[in-house]
Amino acid sequence: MENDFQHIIDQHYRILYKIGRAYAQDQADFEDLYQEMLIQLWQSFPRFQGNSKLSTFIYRVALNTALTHQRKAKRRPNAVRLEDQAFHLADHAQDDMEANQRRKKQLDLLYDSINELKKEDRAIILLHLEGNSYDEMAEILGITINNIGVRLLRVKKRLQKRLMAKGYARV
Amino acid sequence: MQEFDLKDIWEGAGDGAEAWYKELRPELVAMARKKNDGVLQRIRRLVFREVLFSFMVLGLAIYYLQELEVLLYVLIIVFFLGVIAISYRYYLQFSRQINQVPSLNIVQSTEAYLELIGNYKNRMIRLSVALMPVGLIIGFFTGFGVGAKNDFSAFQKPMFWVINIAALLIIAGPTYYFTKWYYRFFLGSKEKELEQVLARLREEEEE
Repeated sequence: MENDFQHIIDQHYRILYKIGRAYAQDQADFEDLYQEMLIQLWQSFPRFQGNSKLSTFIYRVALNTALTHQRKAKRRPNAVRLEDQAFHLADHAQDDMEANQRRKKQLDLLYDSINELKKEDRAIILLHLEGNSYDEMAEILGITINNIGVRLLRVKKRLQKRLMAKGYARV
Repeated sequence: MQEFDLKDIWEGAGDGAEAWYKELRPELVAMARKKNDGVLQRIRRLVFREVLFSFMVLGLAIYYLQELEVLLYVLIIVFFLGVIAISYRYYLQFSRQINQVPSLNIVQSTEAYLELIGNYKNRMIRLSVALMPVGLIIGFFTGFGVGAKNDFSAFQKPMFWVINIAALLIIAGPTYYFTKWYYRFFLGSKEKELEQVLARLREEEEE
């Protein structure tokens, strides 16, 4: 079980990270949420029966955890901005500092803008950016394919509006 | 204004993920095995503690109240056995249901989550307005029986009842409001927020 779990997370850790960043308010909240998603996945894996893709299952568990996650009020006074910590870690892996900094800034801005969206809209745009098909998105969210199309269009507009307000032209 | 391509930028989102994951991978399984602090799991633990507490009280009652009038003694035992049976049945049912919730799709999961929270809320209110006064009455009779050495002649005086029923109502009132306060403290605004998420998802669906 331990090895299987580790192997599965090795292949899907990016999903957890991105969902964590899209839903958490600061570094401490991100760490809590990331851990909560891991715990929930650990407890839910025995119930995975292979009726859907493994990634669909992981998206469901992680998004459900993010939606019901309650920020721990106690840790707020020590809050560190999420991107400060996350990109500090990324710094070690990149040589081209200038290009890296620009990318970081853009990514920060995108995460900030996603974070400002309503919770269900964040799920839709995340699933879209991750390259999920409408079928897969419908299966994860539990709404019809037609509805996915309509909603995605609206969410993109909302996101574009926010990005433009922050100084970016085209989405 | 800068050019900004969502998909292109999103490609880089994995860089931070990798660095972050490398840091925590050695303790991944240990982290995943920690206590689940989700709201539903917290409720499950509370209900389990209720069952344990009822067992403990039952044990103490069986041991310490043997001198009581037989009828009253039996009534107390039956009351606690009833509480244990109800709590344990609820605990089993609740545990079974919450295990399914995280792997459902978002709409189904949110519905199930709200339903479970709603049921728990109703249960707590029922406990505070119904079971609690009954428990208080039984506790009162027990205390009286022990104090008066099984002499229940005072029960025939109306004033006795007026004073004691009033006292019970005075205790039950704050208990009810405490339950409501505790519920708000425990769940905060999460329930309302999820209701709104669900309403928006359904609204889109109906259009």
